[in-house]
Amino acid sequence: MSSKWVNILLTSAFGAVLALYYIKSGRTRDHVDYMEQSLSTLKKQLPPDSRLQYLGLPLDSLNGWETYLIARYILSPVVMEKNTLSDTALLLFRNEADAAPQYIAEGAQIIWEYHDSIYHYVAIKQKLK
Amino acid sequence: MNKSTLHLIWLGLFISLLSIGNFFSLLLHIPIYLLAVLMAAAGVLSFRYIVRHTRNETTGTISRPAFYVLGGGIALLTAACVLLVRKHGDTDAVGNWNFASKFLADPAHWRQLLWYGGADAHPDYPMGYYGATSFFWRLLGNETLMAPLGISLFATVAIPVMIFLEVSKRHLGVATLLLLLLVVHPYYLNCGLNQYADTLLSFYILSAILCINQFRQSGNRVWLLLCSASLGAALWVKNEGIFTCALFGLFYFKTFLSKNHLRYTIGGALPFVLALGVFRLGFAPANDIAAVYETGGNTGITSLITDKERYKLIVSFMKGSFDNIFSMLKLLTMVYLGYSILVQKNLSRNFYLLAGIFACYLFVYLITPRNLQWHLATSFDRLVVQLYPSALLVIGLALSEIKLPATFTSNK
Repeated sequence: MSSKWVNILLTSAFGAVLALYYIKSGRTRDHVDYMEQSLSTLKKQLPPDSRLQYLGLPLDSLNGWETYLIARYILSPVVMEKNTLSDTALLLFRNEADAAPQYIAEGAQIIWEYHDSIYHYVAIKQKLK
Repeated sequence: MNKSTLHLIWLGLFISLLSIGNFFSLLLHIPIYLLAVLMAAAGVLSFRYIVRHTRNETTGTISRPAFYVLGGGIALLTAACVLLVRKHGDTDAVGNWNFASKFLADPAHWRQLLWYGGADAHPDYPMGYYGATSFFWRLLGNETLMAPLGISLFATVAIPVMIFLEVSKRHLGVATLLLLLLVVHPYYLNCGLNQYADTLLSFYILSAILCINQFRQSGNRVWLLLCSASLGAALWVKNEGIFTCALFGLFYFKTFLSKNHLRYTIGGALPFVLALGVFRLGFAPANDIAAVYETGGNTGITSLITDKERYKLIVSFMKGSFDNIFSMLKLLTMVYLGYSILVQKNLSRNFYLLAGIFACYLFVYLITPRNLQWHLATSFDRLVVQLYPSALLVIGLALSEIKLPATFTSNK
């Protein structure tokens, strides 16, 4: 048989997977989608050349590192830096872990001290309506 | 070589060229539509050149039984892909590749990626994968997840097909076994579908081996050009590609650098080496592991190498990986070693080559300044995925010489 048939077979399989992925991804929402919704207001407010400070906290089902990775993915090309108190905004993740009150208190203090600036508190919930 | 294999190799290299074009267009402020026209022209010309100059060594046919087996394998692969694919891919997709693509998709702010430190967002990673994604994002005007998935899916599907097409010419039974070992391998599929760049790297390593084999058979220097380009693409997609290039250079030193071949060697690798050189020298920070040694931060390299516990830990991870995830590869390797040593009295040069690359990976673990347990846990299996398809090909080609009953063989 001609190798053209192999190419047709391959193209069909490739197209089928992409088409089914398109349908599947349109029907599902994962943590990235939830965080994208939470961060949408902040993203609109930030100029793309901002450096964004953050205080990261883990969400219930994701660890803090993954939460940070997803947030910086959503907010790029804004660059995120960890709590260096030198630039435009503050991002705070909410969770129920033991460390949360400490971070929330710290975040509240920063917002209080820099209340003339454009610091933000962003609470990210697990599931949004 | 089958024509379809050649087409897939060209397409893989073209994807890598797109990322190079994208990088230089960002540097030189070339509009994306002009770049698209230039890349389309380069694609057509390179395709015609390759097809025309390899006409005598490619075959445009496949036996009917082989085609049916391949069809079944691809149907199985399609079903597995749909089941395993996740919307945003895995951690590496969100944290590294698509994250970096978003910067490169924004010509006004792409350099901000370099504001991140080396160990944090890895802006030192070469652009082979994320540069191609951002090319499509710039062209389409939106950050569709179909683009990175499409690139990754291409490699995931192409690898088993290329191996099958090349081995089925010799032995349909062995080719079928290799096809199954890829299309129903959950870890291999997960890496590809959830957008780890390791699958793309494994595609380029496989391409390089197929092309060097073809060159050794025919002596046509266009295969050397394609091999050299595949090695360049491997270098441009992940830092580990440097070991592939180094070991290929070592094992095929005379072939690449002989007076009659040098033009083709340089011609194939030039775009990739040029792009990587500009990127490394002009933009990228030092790799996080290399940076520790460059700054004299870790002076205890001797103590790392002589630490027996590190060897034990690496061996335990190896054992775990080959017992659980790649057990069939282990079994096939044992059969291959037995057959080659006892019957053929010789091991394939490409087997030594792959073993050498693997040894380099292990050496990096030995001297890593990072937490070894963490480093192994987060990357060891993916490194095996990089070599898994090529190892299957090398072993498959050797085992296809074992004579089995006629019912299992291809009736070409």
